[in-house]
Amino acid sequence: MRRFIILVVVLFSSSSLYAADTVVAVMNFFNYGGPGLNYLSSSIPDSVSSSLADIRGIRVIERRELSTQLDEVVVEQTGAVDSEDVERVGTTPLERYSVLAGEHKVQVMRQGYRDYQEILTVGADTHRKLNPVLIEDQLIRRNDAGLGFYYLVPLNDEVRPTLLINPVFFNHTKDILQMGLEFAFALNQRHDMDLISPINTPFTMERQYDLIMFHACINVLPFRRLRTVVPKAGVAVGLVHLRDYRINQALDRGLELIINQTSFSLMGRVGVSFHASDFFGIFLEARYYLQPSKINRPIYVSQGLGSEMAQVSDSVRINYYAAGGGIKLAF
Amino acid sequence: MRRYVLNLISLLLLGIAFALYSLGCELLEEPETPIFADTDLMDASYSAGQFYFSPSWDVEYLVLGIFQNSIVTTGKRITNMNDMMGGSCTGLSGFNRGQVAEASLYTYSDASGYFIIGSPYDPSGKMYWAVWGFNADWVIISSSEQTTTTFP
Repeated sequence: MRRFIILVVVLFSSSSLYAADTVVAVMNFFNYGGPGLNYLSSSIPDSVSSSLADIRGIRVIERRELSTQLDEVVVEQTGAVDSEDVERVGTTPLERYSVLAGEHKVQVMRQGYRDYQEILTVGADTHRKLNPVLIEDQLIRRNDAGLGFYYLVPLNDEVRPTLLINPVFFNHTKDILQMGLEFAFALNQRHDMDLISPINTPFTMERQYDLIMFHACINVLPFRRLRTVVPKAGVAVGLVHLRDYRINQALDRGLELIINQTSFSLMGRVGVSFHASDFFGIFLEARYYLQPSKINRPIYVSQGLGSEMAQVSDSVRINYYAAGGGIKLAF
Repeated sequence: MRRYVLNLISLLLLGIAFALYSLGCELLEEPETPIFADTDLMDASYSAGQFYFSPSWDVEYLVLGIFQNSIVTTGKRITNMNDMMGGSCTGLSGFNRGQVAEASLYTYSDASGYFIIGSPYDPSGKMYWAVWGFNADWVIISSSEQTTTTFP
């Protein structure tokens, strides 16, 4: 008998914690045997249905409801909807979409807006209406300003590391691109010189640079979907104004300006921002400053007993790397 | 009576004129000038085989230079160092802050730009000398006027 009759039993089950009974529909038998057994194709399912209906935890549905349930099975099997992995199911307005009973995560996305997410519990034979309201994404299209502090390390043995202060920067972000302006300065960057004095004794001339930097930046935020931790990389071009002083206590401020000069500067950076909220974040960053041209760095030589030390022109290229971080506010 | 008054006025005018003349003489008196421009004047003198000078507190290093010709400077540089015959400076034996004995001088070498250690210098005849001082940053901040002395 089994050889001729295929009992089609469709079982639907849900993994939801809230799932109720196992849903069962018993379909008619298909008789592939002799015509004398045709009467069994409907009488046996009726008997099975009656028996199953008495069992706790099993809910037997009418055969006419089966088309709806089968639609859901088809959808499940095509992979259009999966309880774990999100798949694109269409674009809004989506008038109707069938899912299995249970818990589903619904995600609605639009470029420039924050993703809408909701866990939706759908009972059997029920309809749920969803009206997602998308909020403009403050990370993808936003302005921010802030300040940062960096440890500035020159790639030159004669120049000492110092603190680079970035008291203000401004960025505008659109999608994955970010453009910005920033101002930074580093004061009291020592570059002392070991020299011979007019009376033939070695001494150290105390020297210092004051740096003022202006840069225009363009950054890429490659992982647009990331919201809390946002990496970025970028380049900048700008100007560096450098003032070179020697310590001279004979002057009021104790500093004698030797030379000031302005040169082009290129900068590359990688960093990551941590957004505690839509309005506040902190960031960590590593930078490399490349000075395309050499800067003047006058040195002093003794002219003998009867003269002050003479200034002799010299030039040097000083590139820097910097590491630091700061805070920023979005608006 | 009138003559008496006129004489009195004339006497008064003469007194005023004399006072103005005396004052003018004082103003016209040549001031002491340090050998280097834009430096403080340092008092310096020679007496009985000793050079005396009084550097200010911020002078760290001192040089005493004795020249065979008048000292010529441009800004803070002596342009005729080839005329410097001897002297002494901070760090050398016998040089005290404020006083140097004539017997503690060294011969100056223009070739090396420094004194020849172990070669004493004994000035004789009419010489020109001055003292100048550097601060800790090797800036000349103080100098004496040029003094002419005839040594025995």
